[in-house]
Amino acid sequence: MNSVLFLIVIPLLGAFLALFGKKANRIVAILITAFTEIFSIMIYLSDKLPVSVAIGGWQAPYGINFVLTPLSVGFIVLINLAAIISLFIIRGEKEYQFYSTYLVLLAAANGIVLTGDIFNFYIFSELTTFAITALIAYPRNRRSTGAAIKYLILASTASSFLLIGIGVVYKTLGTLNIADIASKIDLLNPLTLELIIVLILTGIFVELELFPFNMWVPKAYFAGTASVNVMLHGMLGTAGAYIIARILLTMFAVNGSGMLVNANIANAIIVIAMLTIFVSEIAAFNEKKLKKVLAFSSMGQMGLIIFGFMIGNEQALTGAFYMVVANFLAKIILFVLTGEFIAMTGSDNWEDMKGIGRKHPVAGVSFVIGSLSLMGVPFFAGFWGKLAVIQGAMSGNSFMITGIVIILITAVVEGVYFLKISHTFFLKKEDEKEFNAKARIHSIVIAAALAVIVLAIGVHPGLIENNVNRATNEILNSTSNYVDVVFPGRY
Amino acid sequence: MNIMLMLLVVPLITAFLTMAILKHQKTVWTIFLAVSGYLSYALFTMYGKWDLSWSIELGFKMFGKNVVLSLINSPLGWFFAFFASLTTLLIAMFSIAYNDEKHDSKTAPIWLLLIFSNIGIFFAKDWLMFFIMWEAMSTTAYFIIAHGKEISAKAAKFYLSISLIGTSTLLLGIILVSRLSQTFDIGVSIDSLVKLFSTNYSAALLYIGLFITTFLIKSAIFPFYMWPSKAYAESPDDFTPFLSTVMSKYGVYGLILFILPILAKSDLPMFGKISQPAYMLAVLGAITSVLATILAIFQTDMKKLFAYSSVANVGYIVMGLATMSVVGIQGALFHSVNHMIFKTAIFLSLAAVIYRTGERDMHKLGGLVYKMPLTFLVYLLAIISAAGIPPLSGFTSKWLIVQALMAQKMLFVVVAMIFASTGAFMYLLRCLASVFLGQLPDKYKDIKEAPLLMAIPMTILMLLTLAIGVIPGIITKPIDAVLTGMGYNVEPSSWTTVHTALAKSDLNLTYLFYVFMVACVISLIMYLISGKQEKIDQIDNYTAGENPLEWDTTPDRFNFAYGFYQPFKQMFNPMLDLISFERWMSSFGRIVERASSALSLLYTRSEGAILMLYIGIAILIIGGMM
Repeated sequence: MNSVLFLIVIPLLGAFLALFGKKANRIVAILITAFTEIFSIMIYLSDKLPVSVAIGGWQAPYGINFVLTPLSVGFIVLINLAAIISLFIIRGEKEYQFYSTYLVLLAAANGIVLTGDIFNFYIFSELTTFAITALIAYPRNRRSTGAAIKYLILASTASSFLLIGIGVVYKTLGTLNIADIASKIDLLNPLTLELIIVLILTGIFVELELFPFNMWVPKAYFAGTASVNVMLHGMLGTAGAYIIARILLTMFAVNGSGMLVNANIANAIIVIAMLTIFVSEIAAFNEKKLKKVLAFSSMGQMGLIIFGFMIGNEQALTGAFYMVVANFLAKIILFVLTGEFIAMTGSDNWEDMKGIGRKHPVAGVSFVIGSLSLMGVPFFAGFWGKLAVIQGAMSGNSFMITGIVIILITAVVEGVYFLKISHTFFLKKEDEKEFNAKARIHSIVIAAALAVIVLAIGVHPGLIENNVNRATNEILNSTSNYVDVVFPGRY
Repeated sequence: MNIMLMLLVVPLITAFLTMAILKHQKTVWTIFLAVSGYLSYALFTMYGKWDLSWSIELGFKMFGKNVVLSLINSPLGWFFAFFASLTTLLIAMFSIAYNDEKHDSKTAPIWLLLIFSNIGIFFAKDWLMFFIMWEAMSTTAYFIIAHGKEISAKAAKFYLSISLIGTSTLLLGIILVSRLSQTFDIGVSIDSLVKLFSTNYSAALLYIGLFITTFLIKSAIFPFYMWPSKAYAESPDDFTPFLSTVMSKYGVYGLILFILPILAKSDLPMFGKISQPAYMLAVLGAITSVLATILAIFQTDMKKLFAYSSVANVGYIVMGLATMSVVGIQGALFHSVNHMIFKTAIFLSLAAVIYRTGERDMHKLGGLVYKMPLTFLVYLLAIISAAGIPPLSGFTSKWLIVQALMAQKMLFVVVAMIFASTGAFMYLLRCLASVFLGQLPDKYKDIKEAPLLMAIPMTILMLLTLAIGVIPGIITKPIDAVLTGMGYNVEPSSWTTVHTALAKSDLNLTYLFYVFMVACVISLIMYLISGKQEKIDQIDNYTAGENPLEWDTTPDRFNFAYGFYQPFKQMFNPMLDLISFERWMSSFGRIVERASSALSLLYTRSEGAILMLYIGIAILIIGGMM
């Protein structure tokens, strides 16, 4: 299974090649991404999972290892799917810098998910930071440069925290292997453990778009083009959800049970999740720039997902995974269509987008489906996630019930702004002017296809039940499903 | 194929089909009519077959087992579903004529989705199905009310925010209750709530409070009485009757389905002859009908006027339900059907007026009786029914409700009911006088009677309200089945007589009709044998025979419709200002908007980013130490 390295090496090689390619870059990038996507699907469908791959023959914990479990490979499939979509919706010619940094991002995102080594994880997350910064700054105007610098400052501050945290882990436990750390975590004294958790959480929460750490989010989404938005959401955001599952719920879990080892910090994370949901949904309510609305909604969904993850029972975990998938699909629909709509009207403001739904009913209806799924309306994928998370939280303490109330209150706010926006597309256009640009058919087809998937999962949640159950099971019994894979026979 | 499933599948498939051929309006609306016809027929054949059911198991686990969605044909659900689909059938016929190039609202596919969820709500056996359909209904209704018009979108936003609050409380309630009973089944959850009432009274009260909030919101009962005046007024004219007559009944249905059995079976503290929560419900119904009646009197827009009138009528229904007696529930169910019939007739006749004139403000119309006599007749009979005057149907149900209230000695509520009923005359006649009577403005000299396809459903409604008024058995027979299904012991009701709660107050409505007919014949004879009549000009009526020119005025148009009840309005204004929930709601909306702007400003400014990061770290550290 050493060939799994292709998922990282081939994009990296492509990144070098892209420096010399000119017109061919886009084709090369698409080919590479298609390869990684097909390859990861083949791994997922093969019956060899779970498996740990030691790189260069150095066995864990001494060497770097990649861990392929249903959870990690499933996330790789999602990340590469978003990557391919983001390439298809690129508008106009891009120079070599764009494709080069994109391929670095692809390699790094795959690496984050696959690696079984915390220091390796740090390196890949640094790589994504720089790739994302370059991609945001790519349009080379005032807005994008500002957003990129803001992101860069926050992300590098955070990664210094992450590095210190990893240093403390190495000093105290003498190992960098995630599985090894997970099996030794109860050897640490509580204060050291708390220090490590706070340092590492600070490092990853910036990328996770959680409330006090996420000052970069709206500007970054606003400055990026539609394809960069899809990358930010579909690659970085999805990798973020994986990080929660792997770092918080596996590495720092009590006896591999999917509960965070320090219950107080788990509560603090839930508070942060609630704050995120509340702040982002309220902030989106009166926002006029469509991309910023979606950025705020991304933050809110991330808050919901982490809320579901931190509750710590099977029902809520299932819900959180459903939500990851639903949010992944629905938000890509919205970002793809937003890119088209902005190009058509030449305005960022959703109030100027009247008449689009009348001209392109398929696009308009797909946007409605995406928003309804994010709102958690029945018949769409988001509903089952929301239902299960709320049901799971209900069996928690009174603290969780506060969370439910916040979710339900913000659902009202979210519903109002999403439906208000989606209905705007169906209003009559005031002037008879033609739109600035034509909608591209393939973007609408992508959006419509994803909308059909969202609808299918919503009507028949059993479609992805197996995959979700495998992931849930892996988190809940991480000792046998993760540590044992890396160190056979340790338990 | 299972007939219950067909009821859901047919509207769903035709919804997608009509979406594809949306350009051919007439075909689309004809398909819509055909679907409503099919549903009405299928529901008609389902009467008495109370063992029909359908269920599906989904691959999604809750409470440790796979989720099952199920439908069942219960008498209560059938009662509402059948009369709703009958109303829809009549509206559908009207819609074919109404949706021409000028009035094209393009809402047929979404409306079919709404009918799909309508069937689902009335036949749901478990809470999950109920919730799924409820939420589908709320969102589809938003898109129909907004129907691609800016001004309607604003009104619909108001509806949406209130309706989403309702779905949120419903979801919370469902999750709490189903956790209690470890299943989503509605019947089981009733039992477990009854048990909870005996162990933990306040928790049980909170649980049913969540459900009641949802149902009150949907039926626009106080304190949520204000959204219909916006939503009904701005929705498509042919959709307003559906919104007003069918969709306001969802809350009523929910109350009968879930709240009444719990209140009836639990051991609750009493207030007079009925339990405290039920009394509370009755008081809310009373406040609603009084308030809505007063508000209806002041409207100048006729759709807003009848929006408030609908609110008042649902208030009567809630009062009837709250008596918890057989007669009260009978009256409430009877009034639900009556309201469907006469309010549809009123809204359709007004829609015909709007279709011909394009005007909604009453004071800009007048004298239409000369041009649209049939529409006038339909409207006249409908308001007679709405005012509760025999021999039309509205009388019977109001009679039953008042009797039930008196039998339970709910004095305050009876007074409120009679006040609202009397107030109803003021607004019903105002609209009659302003729109149909008086002088015809010059610009409407050439308008014609409503087209045939509009006239047919209106005429059918007119005959229906008369038929039900004379032979109440048409409605009371199915109500017997409903009450038996709910566990009440009822004697089979007769075709002609209604039995009421108080002694010696049973009424044979057919005799009443004969008496009425004899009175009519006598008046006709008196008219014929009276002296010769002189036809005078309409203007002489207004000027008492004087020539206006002699008094230095011109024979101008005399329209009294504007500011019709000015003194009355001045009397009530201070009170209405005091309890304006509408203003409270919009100021709350503004607060959210301001908070939203402030928060997004936080993200626009760059200075605080690192500071916020440290605040986040502080939260983590403090949280860890707690």
